[in-house]
Amino acid sequence: MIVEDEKAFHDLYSVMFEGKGYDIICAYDGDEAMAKLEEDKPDVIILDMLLDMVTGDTFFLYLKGMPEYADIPVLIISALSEKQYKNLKKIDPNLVYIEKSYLTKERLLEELDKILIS
Amino acid sequence: MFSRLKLGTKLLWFIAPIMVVAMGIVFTWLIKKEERLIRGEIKTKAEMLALQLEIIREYIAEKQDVINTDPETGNVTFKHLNPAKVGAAISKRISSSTDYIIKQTSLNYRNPENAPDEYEIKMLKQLQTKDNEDTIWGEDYDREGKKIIRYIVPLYIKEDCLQCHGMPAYEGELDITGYKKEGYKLGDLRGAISVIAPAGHMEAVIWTNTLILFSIGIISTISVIFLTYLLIRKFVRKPLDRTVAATRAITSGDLSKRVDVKSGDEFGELAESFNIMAESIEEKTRALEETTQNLERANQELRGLDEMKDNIIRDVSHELKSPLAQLRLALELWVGDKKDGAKDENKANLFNGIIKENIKRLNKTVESILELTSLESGRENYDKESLQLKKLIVQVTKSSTLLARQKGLTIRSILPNKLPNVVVDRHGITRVVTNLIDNAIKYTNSGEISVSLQQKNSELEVSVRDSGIGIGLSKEQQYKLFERFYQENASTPGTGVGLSICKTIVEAHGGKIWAESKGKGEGSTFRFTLPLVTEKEPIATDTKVNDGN
Repeated sequence: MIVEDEKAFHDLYSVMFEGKGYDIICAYDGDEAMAKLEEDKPDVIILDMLLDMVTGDTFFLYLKGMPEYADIPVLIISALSEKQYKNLKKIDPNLVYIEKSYLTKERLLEELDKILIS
Repeated sequence: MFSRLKLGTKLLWFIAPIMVVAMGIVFTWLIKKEERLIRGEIKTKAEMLALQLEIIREYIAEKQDVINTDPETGNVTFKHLNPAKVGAAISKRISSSTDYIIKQTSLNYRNPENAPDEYEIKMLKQLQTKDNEDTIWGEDYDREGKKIIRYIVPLYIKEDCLQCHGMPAYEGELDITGYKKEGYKLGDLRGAISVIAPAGHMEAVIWTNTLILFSIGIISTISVIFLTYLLIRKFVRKPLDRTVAATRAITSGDLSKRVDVKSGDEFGELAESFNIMAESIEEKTRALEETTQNLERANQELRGLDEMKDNIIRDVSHELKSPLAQLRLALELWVGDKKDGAKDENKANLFNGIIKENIKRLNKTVESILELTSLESGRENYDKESLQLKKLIVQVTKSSTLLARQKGLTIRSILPNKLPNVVVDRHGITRVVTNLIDNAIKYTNSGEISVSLQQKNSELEVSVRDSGIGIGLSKEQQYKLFERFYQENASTPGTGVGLSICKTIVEAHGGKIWAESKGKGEGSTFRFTLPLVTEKEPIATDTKVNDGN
């Protein structure tokens, strides 16, 4: 599942995942993500932080607070720097973080592979 | 134990015994003195009586010749008026007409009426054994148990006595009165005058006076105790209690408490210095509180600044990093595709679009930031001219209509005719109105946007009302909307400098700008004012800006 408020990013992600055999669920904010979560439980969630209405961190806390979703690995891709997410890391030590400034196709696929194998 | 007693009780513990002892001494002395006085008075009376009788007896004894001798014939006949007879008669009279009993007595009495009683016998015998004994005083009780004072004056044989009581010329010689002569010699004790003075009244008087003094003692002791209590209460306890109460009040936080004691005594001084102290404490505490408040405020402001700085970093991060990341990713993927030799027209269009869009976005952001910096530095040159604000608004509304229509929104204008001209920078004010309308469109998904213009006193007020998402900030926090880089919703596209630019322009024209909203989802209204000034008197800011150049 990709939770991201900008359409351009959704487009870029779908190009990157082309031919990898992933089923992609798109959500534009936390609210939509929560709703889609009920329909289909994803294997991994790519989460942006600066979202409208229900923001990324709120959605993350909701996710980790629900027993049935708490085990879904989360990959945060945000414009903010990593140190601003120390608190979230305390809740889920397996949380993976990529700053948007350093996002590449290679890095994204590598992190996703690691998450999905483990 | 004693130290725990209240001040009044302590004082009474000292005063009461001292008073009781002092009064005891004084009263005893008074009673004794009085007793002595009364006794002295009784004695004087008794002495006077005895003396009178003695004098009468002596006189009668002296005048026996005259009394018994017939002046005409010279014959001597006993007239029954010798000292004993006269003394007895006078004694009887005195005894019957006063409380005093006076009599002549002797161990060897002739008249049985003169027979001595027990006490007199004892005293007479005592007098016999001693020569030239003076008077004897004694105290006793009569048959009724009343106190009496006894006075015995000895009667010794004198020259005049010998003719009746002296040596008989022959055995059984009778004197002129018909009694046998006893054979006394000159200076022998013949008998005594005995006075019995009533002293029962003395006891009664002393008893009454003791009672009166005792009552006075009790009453004055109680009065002193009561008075001490009252005085201590009024002059010590009340002012002390007030001072103590004030101290407690101040200790528990009521610093405005003062002691209301106006006397000029030590307590007045204490209260005064206490009040001065309280004043100083209050002042210092107030100063301290003020300092604490200032520090707290400063701290809050710092925290606010910190938070604002974080928000700015967040918003600018988003506005700069997001488009950059998109650009980089699009280029990377496009270059990758190129290397693979893939030729997908759709993808190429997608990348192209993303790249163009983001370059535009970055351009806009950089321009906005530069524009704001330039505006805020005050170097911007406003080219002011007199114009009809209505015309300017109509133009802006027209150019925004297309954008509004795309979102299905309508723009309504309420613009009255015949409003005075304003002297403004056309470009700047156009910028402000455009920004407000663009914002209204951006944050509104359905409904309408209304733009209105009206005159309010010496100002024109422009307002842009929308039915959009509203403002979540409280009224006091809404000023933040006009701060640089502030964005209520972090993800919203835009740099967060638009309203900040508007504010700078409006204020440079001497106007005000503010927002109104009932809350999230309630729509919002942005208003700004422009002062009406004639071309002849340009506004101060304008001059200043020009001077700066």
